[in-house]
Amino acid sequence: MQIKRGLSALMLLFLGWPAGAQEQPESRFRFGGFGTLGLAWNSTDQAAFIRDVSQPRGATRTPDGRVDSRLGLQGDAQLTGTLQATLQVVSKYRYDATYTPDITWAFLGWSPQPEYRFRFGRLGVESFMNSDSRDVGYTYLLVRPPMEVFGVVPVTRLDGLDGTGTFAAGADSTLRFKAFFGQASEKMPLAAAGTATVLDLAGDRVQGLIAELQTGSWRARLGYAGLQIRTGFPAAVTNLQNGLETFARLSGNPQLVQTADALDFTGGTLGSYTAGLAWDDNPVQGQAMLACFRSDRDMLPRGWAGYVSAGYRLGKVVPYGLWSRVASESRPGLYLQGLPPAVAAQIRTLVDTFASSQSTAAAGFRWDFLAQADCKVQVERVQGSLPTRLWAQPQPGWDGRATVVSAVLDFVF
Amino acid sequence: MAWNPSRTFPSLLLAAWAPFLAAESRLVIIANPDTSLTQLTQDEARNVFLGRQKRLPSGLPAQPVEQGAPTEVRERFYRLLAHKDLAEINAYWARLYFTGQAHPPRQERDAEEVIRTVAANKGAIGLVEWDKADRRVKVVLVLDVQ
Repeated sequence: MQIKRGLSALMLLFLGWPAGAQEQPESRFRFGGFGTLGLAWNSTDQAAFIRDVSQPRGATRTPDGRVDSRLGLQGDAQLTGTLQATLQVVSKYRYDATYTPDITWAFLGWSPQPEYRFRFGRLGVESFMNSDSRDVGYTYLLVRPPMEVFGVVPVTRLDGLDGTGTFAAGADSTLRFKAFFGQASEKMPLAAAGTATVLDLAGDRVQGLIAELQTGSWRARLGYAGLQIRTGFPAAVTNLQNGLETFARLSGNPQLVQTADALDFTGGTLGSYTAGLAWDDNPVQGQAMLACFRSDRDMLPRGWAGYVSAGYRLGKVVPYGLWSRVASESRPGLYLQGLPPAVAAQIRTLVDTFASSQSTAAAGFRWDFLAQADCKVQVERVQGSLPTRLWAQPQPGWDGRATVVSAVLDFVF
Repeated sequence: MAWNPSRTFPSLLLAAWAPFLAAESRLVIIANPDTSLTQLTQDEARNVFLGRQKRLPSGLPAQPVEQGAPTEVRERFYRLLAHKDLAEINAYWARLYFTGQAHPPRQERDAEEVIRTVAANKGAIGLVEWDKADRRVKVVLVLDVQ
């Protein structure tokens, strides 16, 4: 990646930096950017293919550029020998169906010793292996991070702090430890109780721990990430809950009161325990990851997710394969007797939506046609359970199967 | 490049050895002569140049320096050291850079600039072709041809 020295020189001139700055050991400012231009086509019109649960609409039989296209810009400033600041802004198709740019990273980094680094501000969440670089298509082999693992949790950044320690462990190994803590700030679209609404995660607490070992061509990683829900559901859902509660009290049925309580997820905790393994030594590269989701509310996901991917480099082209799956635990039967059928159906759908299962088998290739740009083509076969929150606008009667063809152009500068 | 008297003498000496050198010059890692660092292993050099190890065995914070041109030198270096193409190296650094973790090694225009930087910074280690290294720096690793 070439950092724009010309641009930073221009910036220095603009800021009227002293002439001596040219004698600085290294430029104080760096600018970079990344982007993806993508098109995705889906074999069915009965559900729209999305990349993660933050996208309100997706690809159908009309080729769609919204799913994968994005543009990011980053600027860094070395403030002192140990202090450094970073700002990154990304424009992509988001929860409100706009491309409004979001601040994805904005932090002050402090490195008192080369081995230790602390960052304060807005930070990407490394809940899974490489999940903090999910927007930078150029950095990974596949067209996009597997939906079944990376797409199911809508938290990708936090406002808080993290600390990293990197240590040599023997001749060829390094160990990295990281802890992070902060508040979520994201929103996700939610089709609930018959209306399209937005779930706001602002204020939810995010925390996690990671240990990673790099040895030779291997990289092994263990991680925990937790989300504590502070906020409530949007009005459409709380109205449903309140209606149910009133109905339960009037009917004097304690089982219905239990059902109403089960719909609430405020105060609940969702935890993911992950293990990842990556191998990279030309010409073979492979990755495998397993995540176990635990929660203390019926409305929060439980189950496991994982993926396996492998590629084989043939010069500038790397053909690859991927298999990924999320399997949610089935929910205990909710007591819905005596309710008006329409209300019972809404509740059933709401609960089942949060227990989506799905698997994807994909094949494709990455072609590094330029030093800082690649082109990828991927075909995937998806098979999922219904109702689902992993697709947008799934129609009744859809069998949960689709074939998706994607082509992307990734670049960094 | 401007004529540089400090380079002429060693270059003349090295010219005598030219027939014994392989068609492409061997790559070496150079360090500041005023430090205790005398030797680096290939593993250590790889970890430092990939940003995984932040200190040199001498204890100083590591400042790896690459030679930008000709590209062929970097290309050969990463193929030897990490079995990676430049595209993979670019992708690797893009991941670390855009996640605010680390910056890629400083890149100098040519071998002369690498030597100057290494001669001026105690923690710096640089990549140059063997016949470019001179008395201002010391060689701490000669990379295997294959």
